[in-house]
Parts: sequence; C-alpha cells; structure tokens
Amino acid sequence: MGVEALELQGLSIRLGGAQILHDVSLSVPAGSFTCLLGPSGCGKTTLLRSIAGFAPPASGDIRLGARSIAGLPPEKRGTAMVFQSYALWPHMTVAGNLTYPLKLRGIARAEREERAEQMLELLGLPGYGARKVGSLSGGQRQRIALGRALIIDPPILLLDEPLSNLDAAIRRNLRGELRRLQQRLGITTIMVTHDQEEALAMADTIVLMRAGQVVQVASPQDLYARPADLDAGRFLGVDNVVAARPDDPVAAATLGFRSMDARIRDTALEEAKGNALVRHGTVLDCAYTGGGYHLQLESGAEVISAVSGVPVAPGSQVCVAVPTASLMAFGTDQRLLPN
Amino acid sequence: MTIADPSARDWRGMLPGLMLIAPALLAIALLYVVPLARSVVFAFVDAEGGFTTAHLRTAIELYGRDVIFTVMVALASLALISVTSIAIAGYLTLGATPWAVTALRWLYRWPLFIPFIVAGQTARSFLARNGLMNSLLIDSGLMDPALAQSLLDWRGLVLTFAWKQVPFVTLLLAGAMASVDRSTIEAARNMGAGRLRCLIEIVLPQVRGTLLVGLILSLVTIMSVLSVPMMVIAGNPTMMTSMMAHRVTYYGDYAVANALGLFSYLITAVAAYVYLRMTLTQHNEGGR
Ligand SMILES: Nc1ncnc2c1ncn2[C@@H]1O[C@H](COP(=O)(O)OP(=O)(O)O)[C@@H](O)[C@H]1O
Ligand SMILES: [Mg+2]
Repeated sequence: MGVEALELQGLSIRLGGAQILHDVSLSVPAGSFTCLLGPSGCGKTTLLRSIAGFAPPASGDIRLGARSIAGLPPEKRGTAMVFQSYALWPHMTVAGNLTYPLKLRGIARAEREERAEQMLELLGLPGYGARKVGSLSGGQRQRIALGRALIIDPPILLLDEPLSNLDAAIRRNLRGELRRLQQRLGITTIMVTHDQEEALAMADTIVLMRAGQVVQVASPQDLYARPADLDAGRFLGVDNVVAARPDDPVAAATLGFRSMDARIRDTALEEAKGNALVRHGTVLDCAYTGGGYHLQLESGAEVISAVSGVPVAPGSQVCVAVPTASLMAFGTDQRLLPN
Repeated sequence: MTIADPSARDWRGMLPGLMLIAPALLAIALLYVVPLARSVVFAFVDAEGGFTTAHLRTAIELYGRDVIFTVMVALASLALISVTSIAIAGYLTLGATPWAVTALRWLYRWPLFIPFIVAGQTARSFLARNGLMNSLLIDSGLMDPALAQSLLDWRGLVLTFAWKQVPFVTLLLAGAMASVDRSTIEAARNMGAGRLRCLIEIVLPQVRGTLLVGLILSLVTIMSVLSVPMMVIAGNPTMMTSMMAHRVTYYGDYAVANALGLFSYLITAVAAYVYLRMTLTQHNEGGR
C-alpha cells in the first residue's frame, strides 16, 4: 500500500454520554509526521482511536486517501496503531508477534519469516525472533510493537505516546531513531504526546488540542514562537505573563515570555528601553540550575521568573529585560495579537 | 542429652508447624485418603483376605462396554461444553451489540441453579420420542412425524451434561476473558483480524488454562453424577456410576463396584496429571 493522506472533517465523538471530541477538522499530508499535543484527558487518544476504528464518530467523516473509512470496522481500515501499553501478544514469540499480521494477510510462511528477520534487523534486534515477549525490556517491546505495525506496510502509522513508558535516556535515543525511521520509510505518521519537547523535536506539524478541540495547527517553530492564545502559550513553556504598560515596545493587554529570554541587567544600565520590555523588581529567590541561576523577582504585584549568569542576593533591586522578538502579545480575549 | 542428634533437632524445629497443620492433615486423611485407599484396596481383596484380580476381571468382563461408553460420553460432553462456552464467553467479550451482550449475560447462568436430578427429569420429558422438542418441531412443520426419534441415549446424556456444565465453564471463561488486556484484542483487530480470529487466536490462547480447569472440573462432575444417567438412559450400555450403584444396591457387591471405581480414578487422574503439568509449565514460563 502506498503512503496516503488523512483528512478529518467535522469529527465529533461521544463516549459514555459525554462529548469527547468537538467538531475536529484536520488534514494530514501524505508522508508527514504530525504530533497531537495536549494535556492529559484532552482527547488525543480518543482521536487516534477513532482513526483506527475503535471510537465510532457521532458525526463527521474520516478519509484516508480517496476513500472514507469512517464506516469500516477496525480490521478493514489498514491503519497501523502502536498502543501506549504496546499490546504485544503474550502467548506468541517476538517473531510470532511480527508475523501474525502477515499471516492475517495470507502471506506464505517462508516470506513471513523472511520479512520478520528483515524487520528485526531494521529495529536493531537481530536474532530476537525466538524470544518470549515477556523477556524483553521496555525499549525492546516498544520497538517490536513498532515493527509489528510497520511490517504490514501500512498507509498510515498511529502512535499513542510510544515513548512515555521509557526512561528519559532511552526516550531521547528512540525519539531520533523513530524520526529517522519515519523519514526513511516516508510513512504518514500521527503521534500522540503530552510532552511538548518531544513534539517540538519530532513533528513536521503539531496539532495542539485542548478539551476535545483543536486549538492550533502549526509547525514546531511557529507554535513555539506564536502560540494561539495564553493557555497554549503556558502549555508551551511561556511562564511569565505580565500586564502591558504604555511604554512597552509592543502594544497589548498582556505580554508573555519565557524565563530563559528574561535576562537580569544592572539597574544602572538602562539603555535597552525601546527594543526590550523592562521591569524593575526585588529578588525573592535565587536558585542554581547548573550553568546559570534561576531568579524569582517581585515587580509590583507581579512575580517574574528570569535567568542570570551570576548569583544575585535575595532582597537586591534588579532590572530584567526581554528582547522584543521574544515577546508574545495577547489581547483582552487572551488570544495572540497579529503582528 | 548433651549431644543432640541433628535430625532430632530438625524434627523439634518442625514440631510447632506440624501441630498447626495437624487438624487439616487429619481431616484430609480421615475424610479423603482413608476411604479412597480403602476402596482401592478392597478392589483387590478376595473373601479370604488374599490378593486377587478377580473383581477387576469381572468388572472388565461385565462392564467394559460401559467404561468405554462413559469415556466417549464424557469426551463428547467436554467437546460440546468447550465449543458452546467458548462461543458464549467469546460473544460476551467481543460482542458488538450491547443489548444482546446484556441479555446473554443474564440468561446463560440460570442452569447453574438447577440440580442435576431436575435437569435429568427435564431432559427426559424434553428429548423423548413424543417429548416436548419433537412436538415443537412437528407442530411447527420443521420435522416429519415419521422421523421423530428419541434422543434418550448417549446424545441425551451429552446434551444434559453440556446444558448443566456450560454455564459453569462459561462463568469461569468469561471472567478470564474479561481480564485479558483489551489492547491485545484491539491490536489484533487493528492488524486485520476479524472477531472470530481474535477469539480463537488471541483471546483463547490467553485463557486456555482457565478453560482446562473448567473442563477438568466438569469431567469430574460427569464421572460422578448418578441421577442423569439413571433418568435419561434406560438400557445398556450406560455410565459407570449407574453400574456401580446397580452392583451395590442389587448384589451388595462392593468389591466389583470398587474395581469399577478404580477406572473412574484412573480417568480423572489422567486429567489431573495433564492439568498439573500444564500449570507447572505455565508457572515456569511466567517465572522466566
Ligand atoms: N470509553 C470511554 N467512555 C467515557 N469516557 C471516556 C472513554 N474513553 C475516554 N474517555 C474520556 O475522554 C477524555 C479524553 O480521553 P483520552 O482521549 O484518553 O485523553 P488523552 O489521550 O488526551 O489523555 C477523558 O476525559 C476520558 O475520561
Ligand atoms: Mg492518552
């Protein structure tokens, strides 16, 4: 099967009497890597499951390539899903898990076994075929689950938090590995994650979700620099929100920025005005974070987080400056203002 | 008493433990082991108290056919029980029509609460030549009256045993299936397996231990029920239980009855062995 595009049109889903997804429309170009990003419980898994056929839509359509798949049972859709828990079949060996999807497609035993070998090679687990699934480590299981999905050469790959059950180090490794594999195979991929760093590092396009709705669809760079609203910004690490003042370089109701963009200056040096947001304040707290210091300072009624290269004693008066390029301007409705 | 014998010391160490389990051991010995051993021994003891295989030979000569009949009926019943309970439990687990699943969940259990003797009696009036089943079939025009036949033979036994034991095995099986990780089922469907293949190739292998337990317990029940063969079957051959009762009540011949009982033990012992071996393998695999 070739690589295909996916199109969701006005998809709504009700489960157990509650509306989980509200009118979700999305188009995923063929061969792209799309991340569904959002806090826990916002409906990412439900969206993925509805594409795979496990959550019947109340309204709307799902199209894969030229055909609508919304009415098909899961086994007829041809989507390949990797479950968060991996869902390997415990009564089969590693090779059994890899070959079963091929068996379902009526492929002869010799070819099945050959393709399983190749897949194990591709996954960096050659010779693991005869192992019991129970004897694998988390990372190895994750790879086998991925291999089981890829072995059928699916038109689309669905990944539900594939890395969330792994240690941080393995996670970072697998992140790159997964992305390279996807690019090499050119397979249309949708990955669910609640980890913004993971989404930013891996995706071509990020779909930001909140409470069953799509908030923003953007490239990682755009999403990071221009989140659609204040909540989206907070989710993407915008930890400072201050009320705008008339002499600020950008006109807005509130201004948001990340603490790593907020630098401490000497109170004396105040030439920055005009191309930076400047606030004065009293240092409340100064913590070493490795490579630098993280400060909390009180500026009027607001508390601002900032970074500094040198330690600053609590109680001292400082000035913090944020370059205009790092500022995000939000209107009174909390939405990002166009610039 | 200055130099304590090491083995004696070991014994003294075990004494409190032994005393704790003594009541249980005693109960098992008195209630199970002694009667069992006695009945096995009496199968080999003649009137003068010497060893003999005469009872065993008599049992085989007179009742060999019944032993084989019993084994065949038991196997056929177990086959029917497996197929039916897998189908019901499978539908309860994978069924797509919620109201049908709910209805089935309520319906399938009720034979559990009906005693064997009542089941036997019901089967008798249902399966006879002019019984309820044939009347229904003839009245509805589905069967020619001339073709009506009685099912009160081995088929009646198999049907009655299955009817009585299916709910029990289904209960065990449906419970086990419900605790199978659902995502393994969804993964199989996602990879292209229909419901039936999912049931047979994904769900069933994960619950086969439970199925085996259900079947072995059913086998023991089938081997020991007296009322059903008495009610359902008139002539020969019949189940061993029926023949043992016959031997005891009409001839007072405990020795041959015990010899027959020996065959029951052997059959259930084979089942127990299979079960133990299987649970041990599973245990070892789980431990690895
Ligand atoms: N089968 C279900 N029945 C009812 N509510 C459900 C069901 N599955 C999920 N939900 C609810 O839908 C919401 C979204 O769940 P989910 O898609 O799993 O979120 P996410 O994957 O983004 O963490 C949650 O509030 C959850 O409680
Ligand atoms: Mg989820």
